[in-house]
Amino acid sequence: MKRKLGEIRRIEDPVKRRATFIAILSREMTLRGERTPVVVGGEAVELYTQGSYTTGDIDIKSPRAATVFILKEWGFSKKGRTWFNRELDIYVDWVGASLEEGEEAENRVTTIKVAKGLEIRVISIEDLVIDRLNAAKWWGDVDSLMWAKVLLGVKKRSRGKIDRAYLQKRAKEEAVADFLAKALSSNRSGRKR
Amino acid sequence: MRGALTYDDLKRNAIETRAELFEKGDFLRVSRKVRKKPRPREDLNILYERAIERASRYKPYYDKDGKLVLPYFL
Repeated sequence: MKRKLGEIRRIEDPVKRRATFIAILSREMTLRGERTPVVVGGEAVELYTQGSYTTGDIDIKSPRAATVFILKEWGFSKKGRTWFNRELDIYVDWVGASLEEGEEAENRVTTIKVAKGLEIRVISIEDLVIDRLNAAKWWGDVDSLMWAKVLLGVKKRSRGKIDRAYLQKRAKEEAVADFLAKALSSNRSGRKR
Repeated sequence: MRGALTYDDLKRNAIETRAELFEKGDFLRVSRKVRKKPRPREDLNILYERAIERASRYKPYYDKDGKLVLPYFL
């Protein structure tokens, strides 16, 4: 596994380097009998958009003790809540053990294949859309509505069925139904933004 | 005379600088990164189009096990 980790350094594209790192970390967690991490936040958007959106760090939900143990073993240091490895140029934020969206969101987690035998678990597109809509409405993050639309577009292009009922339910809970309507309407008509 | 910087020099410098700033605590994330300043509509359209174009060029698909395959990474 450490040899695999060393190979990451040679990956030029930071998007691919981060994805490969998460996949190797996930495999290591599995080998140790631990639950594999779930990628959330900006890194999840980066993965689903295959690098159209870029982020600097990786937000993960995973069992804390095992994650910390492995990161330390792999030469990561901690600053604030972020673990980083200068040589790999990888920054990891451990943001909790499980998804705060609840059990249903946990069951909806998507497994993504990034290479032969390398997989990553990522928060579902629907839950990520709600996360972006929250950012747009409550944080005033002006780009997030557009990224929510992109995520819906990605799901459509992958021939995955957008679970509108679940989206509506979550949007109602988070009081972002107005923003969801905007995101869905532009996707229905195929208009930009 | 010093030679011109190569792409590799710039890349290494950027990685080192980021790591140094981070170690000094200048880079700590205390809250979520948000963009408050609106982009011109045209720029936002370009970003959207590029992202959709990438999703079309590297078309994601679900394999027989229900796993999402992202061709850009393969």
